[in-house]
Amino acid sequence: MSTPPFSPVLLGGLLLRAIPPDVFQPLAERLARRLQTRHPALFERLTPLGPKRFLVDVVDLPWLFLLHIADGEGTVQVLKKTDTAEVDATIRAPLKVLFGLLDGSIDGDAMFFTRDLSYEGDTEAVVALRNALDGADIDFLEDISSTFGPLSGPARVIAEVVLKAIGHVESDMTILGDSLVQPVARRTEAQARRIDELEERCGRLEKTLRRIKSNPT
Amino acid sequence: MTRVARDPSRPVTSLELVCPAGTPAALRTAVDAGAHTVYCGFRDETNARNFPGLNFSREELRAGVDYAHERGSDVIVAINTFPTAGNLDPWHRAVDDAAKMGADAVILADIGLVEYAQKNQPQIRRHLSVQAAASTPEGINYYARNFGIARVVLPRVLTLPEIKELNRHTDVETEVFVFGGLCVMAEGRCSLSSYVTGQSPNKNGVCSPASHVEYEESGRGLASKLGGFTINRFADGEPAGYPTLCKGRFTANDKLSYLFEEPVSLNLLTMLPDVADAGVTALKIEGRQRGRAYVEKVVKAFRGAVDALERGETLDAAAIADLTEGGQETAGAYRKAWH
Repeated sequence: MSTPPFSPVLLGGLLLRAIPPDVFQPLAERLARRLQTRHPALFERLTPLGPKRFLVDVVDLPWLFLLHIADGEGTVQVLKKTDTAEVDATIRAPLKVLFGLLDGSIDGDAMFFTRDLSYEGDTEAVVALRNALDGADIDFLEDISSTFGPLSGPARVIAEVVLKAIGHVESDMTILGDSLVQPVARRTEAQARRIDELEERCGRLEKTLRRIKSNPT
Repeated sequence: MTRVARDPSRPVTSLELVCPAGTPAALRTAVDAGAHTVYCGFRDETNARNFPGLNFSREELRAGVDYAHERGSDVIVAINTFPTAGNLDPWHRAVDDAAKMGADAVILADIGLVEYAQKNQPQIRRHLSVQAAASTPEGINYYARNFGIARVVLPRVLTLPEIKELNRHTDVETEVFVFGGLCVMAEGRCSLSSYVTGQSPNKNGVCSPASHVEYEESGRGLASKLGGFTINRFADGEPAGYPTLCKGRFTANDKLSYLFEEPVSLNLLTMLPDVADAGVTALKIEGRQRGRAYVEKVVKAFRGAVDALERGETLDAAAIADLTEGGQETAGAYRKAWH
């Protein structure tokens, strides 16, 4: 899945495209340290794998996140979409899916079945990361807001309000998106029905042909 | 053999919901969502979900047992792979430690291990794993007579009328799978994964080990590879499935198809009245490799259904279809539509 969904995150990402990733680097580092302190079991579960580098491609944001895990510790580096890095695995998903995986509200297998999440590279490392994250009981909002120290309370409230607003906008955008693609969708459905009919017809013809071949008289 | 519920408020006649947990967080989620019993495994080859990043340390199991018991739920430890010759220690330690950590039962597949548990940890209930493939009253009663097996997890090859008939001829409790991934082969006897990767669910606890799996995205779609062989290719937008050989798509006689089985999940939610009528004791949900979101949703749906059944209400098919493999579900052999 490399095409980003039509979402507020995508629009926000387009607006923020000009901001260099270095601006977010300190926050990413603080967050990694926070995860380390609050969820040591997460890194402990990954230790048997040895050092691993994951590139997380948030498809609806203009940045990549390079996650490096080694010896029970983790670091995060924010990169531009055009940057390249030598990694063990690349994971691609929209921000909403990745957040859901982090806090356990979304099932990774289900997202993979529906192709909302994709990856390439070291499957064992990806599976281990998924399992370790799911087992870590992460409250991402709490972890992010706690990096603001004495302002963690207000930071959490603001984050909740922002997320709620994004939810509303997303719902509106879904209606808008459906409305825009409706004529195309109707045409596609009609074509799909026609293809089904043709396939059925081909099947019948093949069957008849086989019968004639096996019984030429 | 009457099951003794830990929670005295729960009638022992009710259907017991046995739910999966791959991590301590999933165990807590399952208990909070209404699981009567949670099953889990240690972090090694002694259980059939020996996946990277999954399973319990000894300390985590002890904490999980405490959490479950405080809330009236039971914990069962799956030690359901077959020990390798000359290397029995990990399996023996698993049985000993499960008992030591306060687990309520162990799920065992190997007959030698069943005997070991009976002799060395007689106080812990012994459940016969689906991996043992015991599917006749004679076989099940033999295990009960000689090894004190209290429950058998039935292979997913029996129809409901067959299960009902089987229950008429045994006092051993029966447990059946009601939701989750399906195996095409009689459990405990599939070597497909071993042919390609050298590792099997029976010996190593892994079917299609992740270390042998690759996914490749290209213009032709998403290809899944196992041990270097392409076993399936999904078109853009087509639901994907697990990379197991039994669910591979191959060309035979110029026709591309799922030769063994389509990627599909078992779902008996709406058939629970028939399952209860067949006399089973417990309902098992597959999926220790799945996330907390899956555990919460499926356990809640089935607990709601079990409670509704007890109240004599009609069951409503809950929206759990989005958690199924390949986006499809089946009643499998329970409602056999083939001969």
